[in-house]
Amino acid sequence: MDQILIVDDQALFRQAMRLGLSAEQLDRQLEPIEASNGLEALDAVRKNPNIRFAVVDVFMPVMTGIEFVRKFHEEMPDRFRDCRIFMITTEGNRELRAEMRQLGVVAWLIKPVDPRKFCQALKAKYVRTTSASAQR
Amino acid sequence: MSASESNETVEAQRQMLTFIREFASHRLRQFTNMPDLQSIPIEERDISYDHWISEITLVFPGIKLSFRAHFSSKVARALSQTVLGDKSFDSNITHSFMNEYCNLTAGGMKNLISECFLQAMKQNAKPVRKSEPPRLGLPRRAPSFDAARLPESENPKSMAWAYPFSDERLICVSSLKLDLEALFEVTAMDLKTFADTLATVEDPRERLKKQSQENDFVISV
Repeated sequence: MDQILIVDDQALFRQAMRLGLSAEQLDRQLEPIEASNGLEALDAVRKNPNIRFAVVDVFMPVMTGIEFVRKFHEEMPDRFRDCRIFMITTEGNRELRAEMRQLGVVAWLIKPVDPRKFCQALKAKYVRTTSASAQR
Repeated sequence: MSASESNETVEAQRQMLTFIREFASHRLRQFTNMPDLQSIPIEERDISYDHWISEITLVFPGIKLSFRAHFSSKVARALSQTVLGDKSFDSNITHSFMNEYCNLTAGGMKNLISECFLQAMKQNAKPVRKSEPPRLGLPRRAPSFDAARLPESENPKSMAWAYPFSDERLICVSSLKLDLEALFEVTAMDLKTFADTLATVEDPRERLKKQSQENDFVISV
C-alpha cells in the first residue's frame, strides 16, 4: 500500500490530516505515517519505501521542513523523484519557495490549511495517478 | 529623533497593539471557521485558575513582539473541535491548537512587518544600519501558575483581550519591546509612521493567494 508522510510539530495538524484522509476515504489507498520534525521525517523515508506523498511543515524544532527536503533530495534522489511533496507554511520567503520548486516540491501551501480541502484536492488531482509511473 | 517616550510614541504603541489584536482575531476566525467571533475586554487583573499558556516571540531590528494565549483545557478542547470535530482526543492534541494559533498569528505578523521593512528600504536610499533577518521562535506551551497576572490597562506596551468560549475565555496578551533608535536606523521611520505603514501594507498571504490563481505552485486551500 502506498503511504503519505505527514510532517508537522503540531499534533493537532497531524490528527486533522488523518481525519481528512479518512473523510475522503483516502486512508484505504494511502497509509498515513507521522513525523513531528524533519529528522523523524528523514528516518521515516529511509524506513518506508512506499511513501509517495509528503505534507511538510516548514518551521519545526530539531530539523526544519526545508532541511528535510534538502537532505531527502541529496540522500535518496530516486525516491525523492517518486514522492510528491507539499510544503505548508505562513512563510512568504520568495527565495525559499524558489529553491523548493527547483528541487521538485509540488506545491507551497499557505497556512492556515484546511486538511479536508487539501485531501479533496489530493484525491482529485494526484491519487488516481499514483499507480501509474510518476512523472513530473 | 528622540528615543524617549513622547505621547506620540505611546499612541503609536497602542496603535500597533490594537492592530495585532485585530489581526489575531482575524486569524482565529479563519482557523476556527467562526466568522462572528469578536474579542471582548478584560476587567480583572488576576486570571490564575490553574491554566496553560502558549506563547511565541518575534524579533525584528528594534521590535520584539510576544504573543501569548492563556487557556484552560476546556477551552482548548472546544477550540480544537472546530478543526477536529466532536471526537475526544488527548490533551497533547487539543492543546496543540493553541500552539498552532500562536504560530499562525505570529507568522502572519512576521510577513506584515517584513513588508513594512521592505517598503521602508524602497523609500529610503541609505539606512544607517542594515536590517538583520527577522527571527520567529517556535511556540512554547507551559503551565501558567507563575504568569497569571495581566498587564495594567494603562501599560502602553501590552494589551490583553479575550474571546468567550464554552463558558470560559481564551485570553490573549500581546507585548511590544521597542528600541526606537534601532528601528529608525534601519527604516528611517518613527514609530507613528511605522504603525501607519503596518495598517496599510498588503498582506503577502493575500498576494500569494492571488498568485495561486495564476500558477500551480503556490496554493491556498
